Amino acid sequence: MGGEGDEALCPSCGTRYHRGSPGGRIRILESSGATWEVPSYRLADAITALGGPLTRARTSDGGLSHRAGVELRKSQKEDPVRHRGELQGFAETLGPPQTGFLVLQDDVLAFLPPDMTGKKGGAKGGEAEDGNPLETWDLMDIRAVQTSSSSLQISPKEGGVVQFRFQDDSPRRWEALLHLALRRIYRSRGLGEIREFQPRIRVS
Amino acid sequence: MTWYEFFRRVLALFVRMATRTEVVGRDRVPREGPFILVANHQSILDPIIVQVHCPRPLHTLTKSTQFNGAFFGWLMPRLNAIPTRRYRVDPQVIRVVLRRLAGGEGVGVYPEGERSWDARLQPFRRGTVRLLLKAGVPVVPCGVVGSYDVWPRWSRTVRRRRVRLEFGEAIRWPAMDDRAQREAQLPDAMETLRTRLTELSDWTFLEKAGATGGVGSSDPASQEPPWLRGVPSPGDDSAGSS
Repeated sequence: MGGEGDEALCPSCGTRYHRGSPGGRIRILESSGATWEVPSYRLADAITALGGPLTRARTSDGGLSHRAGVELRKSQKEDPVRHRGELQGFAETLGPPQTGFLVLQDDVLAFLPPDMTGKKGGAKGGEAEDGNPLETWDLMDIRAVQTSSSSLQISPKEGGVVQFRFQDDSPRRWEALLHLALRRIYRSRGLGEIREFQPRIRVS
Repeated sequence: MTWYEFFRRVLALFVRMATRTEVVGRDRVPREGPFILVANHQSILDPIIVQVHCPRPLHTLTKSTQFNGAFFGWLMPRLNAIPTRRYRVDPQVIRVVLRRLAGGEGVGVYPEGERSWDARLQPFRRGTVRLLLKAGVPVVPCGVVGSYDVWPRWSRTVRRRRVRLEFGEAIRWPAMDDRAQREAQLPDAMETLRTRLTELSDWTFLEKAGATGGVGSSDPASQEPPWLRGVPSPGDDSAGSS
């Protein structure tokens, strides 16, 4: 999807999606000139009906492969929050951003440097092992998955949080994709059905 | 005047500018003693709208990243926000919540854990419902409808719209200190809470009432593009379910 601000533009058919007049609805402007306005949940249902997060992410052999440009930030420390001398809790501080590509390939999530994008087939999903990822996370080592504002966050086994802000993709889509990938791998290893992804992955 | 009251008044002006809010059931919030207010979460504005209109101060669980930076690090505790690390089990949150309740105060929680992307009620965090059972104080369900039209999660701009806020009758569960007892009660408690919040936060309310004045408010199906008409919508059967 292209577009600026609240507009999304489908590069294939030229349909534009705007925020509707009751602000929670979405106005659809088809390239033919037809105009519609629907509740946003209807488009969510349509995406689900079309295959949900698997759209464009399923490989010919039934595996998963997807990639997107991201800005990665990792939690550096957790500071105590005090008020009137009383400990209220803790808040993490995120480190400086690193840009690159996030790649989901079956049971591994990898963060690749941006210069690999120019290589022929370089950072394409399925070839992460050919390059030198800056970071990799085995899906089994991920303890939690969630979205936060417009970012996706994972909690690796080492603790803390790793945050991905997508440059041209949806955190909601990636969350759904990771949920799907995690459910598949837990199921395939006989670990049960995941019933919760936050504050940590729990199985029934 | 406390900082909380000061900011509540300032934010009340903002809420008045950004919304036309109708409030129902303020008298259902206990006048004294501890309580937990449980609300659905459609927009970043919800905690503000709820705190502005709740007749008693609320200590609200807030994601910890909201405390980043000098300004918000100073501001958030003065808004009675309790930092919550959502990516891990955070026992400090439980301690602080129970301490607030023991002091006879009110606590606000959003059991969905995060804002809804499409206005529908999301699955509840089991840990949140466990906390309600452990606390054993009146639980006031609160439905927010319309804030999604004002500022949905996927948008960057605010549009003035009608919002309806309804405080429901309190649910009273006895305090369950025993973990096994809480686990046994958990499914029923989650169902009860979902039913109550669904009733109070029927996201089709404004459309049914035609109050939004939007295209399709009289017959939404006829306004859909042909390729969308055959798509099933789970939400049509039970408003707010997910």
